[in-house]
Amino acid sequence: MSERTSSRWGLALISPWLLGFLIFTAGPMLASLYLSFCKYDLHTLSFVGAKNYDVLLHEPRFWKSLGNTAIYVLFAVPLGLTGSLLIAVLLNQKVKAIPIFRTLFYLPSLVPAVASSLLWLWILHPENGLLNTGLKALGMASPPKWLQDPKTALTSLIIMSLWGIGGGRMLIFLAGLQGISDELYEAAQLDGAKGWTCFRHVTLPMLSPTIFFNLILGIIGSFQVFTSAYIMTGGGPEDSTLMYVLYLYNNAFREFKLGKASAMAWILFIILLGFTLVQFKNASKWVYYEGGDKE
Amino acid sequence: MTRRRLLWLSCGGLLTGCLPSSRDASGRTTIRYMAWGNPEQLKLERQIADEFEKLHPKIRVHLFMVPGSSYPDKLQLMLASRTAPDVMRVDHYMFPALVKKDYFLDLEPLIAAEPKGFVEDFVPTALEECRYQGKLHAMNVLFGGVQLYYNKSLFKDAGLADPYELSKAKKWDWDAFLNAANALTKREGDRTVQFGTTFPAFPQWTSVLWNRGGDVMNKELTKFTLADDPHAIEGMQDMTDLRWKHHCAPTPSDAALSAFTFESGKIAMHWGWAGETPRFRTNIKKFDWDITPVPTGPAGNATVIKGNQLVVYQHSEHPELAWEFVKYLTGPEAELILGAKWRRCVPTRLSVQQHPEYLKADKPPFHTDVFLDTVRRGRTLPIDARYQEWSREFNSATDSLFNVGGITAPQASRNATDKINALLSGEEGF
Repeated sequence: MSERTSSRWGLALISPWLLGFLIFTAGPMLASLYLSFCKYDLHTLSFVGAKNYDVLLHEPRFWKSLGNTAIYVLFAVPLGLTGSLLIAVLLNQKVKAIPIFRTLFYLPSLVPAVASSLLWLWILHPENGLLNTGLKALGMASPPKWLQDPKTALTSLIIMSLWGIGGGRMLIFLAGLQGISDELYEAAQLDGAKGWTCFRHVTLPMLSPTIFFNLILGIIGSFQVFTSAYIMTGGGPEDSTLMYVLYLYNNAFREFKLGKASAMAWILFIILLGFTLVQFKNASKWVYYEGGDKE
Repeated sequence: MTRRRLLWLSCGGLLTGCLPSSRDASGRTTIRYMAWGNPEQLKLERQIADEFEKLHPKIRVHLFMVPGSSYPDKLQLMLASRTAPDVMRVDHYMFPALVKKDYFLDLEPLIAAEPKGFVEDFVPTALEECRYQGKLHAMNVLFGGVQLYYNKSLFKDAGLADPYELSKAKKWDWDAFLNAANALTKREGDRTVQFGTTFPAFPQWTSVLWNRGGDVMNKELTKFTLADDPHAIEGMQDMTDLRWKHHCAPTPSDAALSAFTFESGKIAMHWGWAGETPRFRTNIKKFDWDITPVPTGPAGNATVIKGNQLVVYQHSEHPELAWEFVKYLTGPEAELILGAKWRRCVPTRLSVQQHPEYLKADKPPFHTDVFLDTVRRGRTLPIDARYQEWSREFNSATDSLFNVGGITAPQASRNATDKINALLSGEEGF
C-alpha cells in the first residue's frame, strides 16, 4: 500500500470522528465565538462588538460567580486529589478481598450526579439530616444549617464534591501506582527507606505524571461545576453558591441572553487555557517522566 | 437523470420522510398541542382532546407533554427553530416576552368571525392577560387566583373562629390572619412541630402590598417603586415577620424537602393557587379543610389572579383548525370538566361560573364562592416582557430578608429597587 493510499485510508477511517468533531464541537465553538459579539435571544441577532464582554466585566454578579467558583476550585481540587490518592494507596495494598473494597469505593461515583445531589439534600438537611443528627449526637448544640446558610452553603458543596473521590480519578491513581516497578521499592528498602520515605521519594515522584494529569482535569472539571448547585441550591442563598456555569446557564436558558452567555463561555475557556498553560510550564519542576529527559 | 441528481432526490425524499405528515391515511388532519403538567393533568387534557376529536372527526390532536422544569427551554427552542406545534400552553410569566417576538397568531380576525357575544362571555381579567398591543393573541386557560387553604380541623380543635366565617363578617384582615397563624403554631421543646401558615414565594403574596395601598412598580411597568412606597415596605415587613419575628411560618431550613406541607396536616393555612385543589383532594384524607380569601387590608381586598395562555403558532399550517381546538379547550364543555369536575381552575366564562354543576361541590373545598371571589377581587400581576429578568433580581435582593433573616425590609427594598431600576434603564438583552 503506497503512503498516499494509506493516509487516505487513515483519513477515511477517522472521518466519523472528524465529522463529529467539526459539526458538533468545532462548528458550535466558532458559532459561539461569533455570538459572543452579538445580541442574540434566539429570535433576533445583531452585532454589538465587545459589548457583552464589557457588560460582564462591570457586573457584580459575574465576579461573584467567578469568585465562588474560584473558592470551590481552590478547596475541592486539592482535597479531592489528596482523597483519591489516599484511597488509591489503600486499595493498592495486598490484603484479602481487595476487589470487594475497590468496588465499594468506586460505587458512589456510579450514582448519577442528579441522584447523588438529591441524596445529599437529605444528608445536609439542617433538622433531620444524617450529618446534623450525627453532629448533635456528638454534642454539638447548634450544628451549621449547611445549604440554608449563605456562610456554609459553598462549603457544603465542596464537602459534597468529595463524594466522587473513589471514582475515575482514583482508578487512574491506582493504575499509576501499579505501574511503579517493585525494583524501585526494593532498592530503596535496601538503603534503609521505610514507609513514609518510600512514599515521599519513590511513589510520589513516580506518580507525578498521573498527579499532573488528574490535577489538570480536576481544575477544568471543577471550574465547570454545575449540577450540584443547579439541583441543590439554584445558586442561593444570597448567591453564595452561584457557580460560573450556573450563571452562564441562567443567562442562556432562563433569560435568553445567548450572546452574553457565549461571552461567558469564552471567558471561561480563556481562564482554563491560562491555568493549563501555566501548569504545563511549571510541570517541568515537579513532574518526573521515567526514561524521559528532565531538564 | 444523472447520478448526482438521483442522489439529491433521494436525500430530499429521506428528509421529507422524516418530517411528520399532518394528514393521515383516513384523511384526518393532525394538529400538535404541547403543554406541561403532572400525569393527572395529562389525563385531563387527553380526555378533553378526545371529546374534541369526537366532535371533529376530521381532526386528530397529537398531545404531547413536556416536564414543567424544562418546558420554557423546550418552548423557546421550538419557537426559534420554527418547529413549534400548532397549539401551545404558555405560562403567563413568559407570555409577554414571547408574544413580543411575533411567535403567536393574532386571534382577532378569527374572533371576528365568531358569533356576537363571544368575547363578552369571558371575565375581563382573563382576557387582559392575553392582549398584546390591544389585540388578543391567546385565550386564557387554567385561570385562577390565590386564596388560603385552611385546615378546618386545626381551627376547630384550637377553638378558633373559622376564617371563612370571619371573612363573611368582614373581619378577616391581617391581624386576624396573624392571630390565627400564631395561635396555630405549636412548639415542642426547641422545635416547631406545627406552623400557622406557609410562606409563599413572590409574586404570590403581592396582595399583601396591594391591600395596604402599596405596589412594587409603577403602572407603566417602567420603574420599580418599592423602596419609595411606605405602604409596600410595611407589607414586606409583615411578610418577613411571619418567619423571623413571629416564627409562625417555616424558614427554608424548616421547610426543606417538603418537611411541612399543607397535606401533611402540620400547616394550618396555605397560600395556594386554585390549581392545587385536585392535589389536595387526592392527598388529604385525615382532616377537614376548605378555602378562605387572603387577608384584606386598609386599602382593599385584592388577591393575585393569573392564568396560562393558549396560543396558536404564527407559522401553523392549520390556523383555523388550531383555533377550533383552542376554542374548545376554553369553551364551556372543557371548562366544566376542568373547573367543575376537577376544580383545576376557575372558569373564565361567566356562563360557566354560574353553572349549577360548578356551583355545587360534594367534596372540599365547599366554599366555591371564594374561588369566584378571587376573580372579582383579582388583580393581574405586573408581568411584562422583562419580568423574568427583574423577578430574578428581586428574589436575589430579597433573599437575605425573607430566606436568611437579618436585614430590614427598607434595606432589602432599597437594594431590590436600585438593582431593578438599573436593569430596567439599561439596554434590554444584556
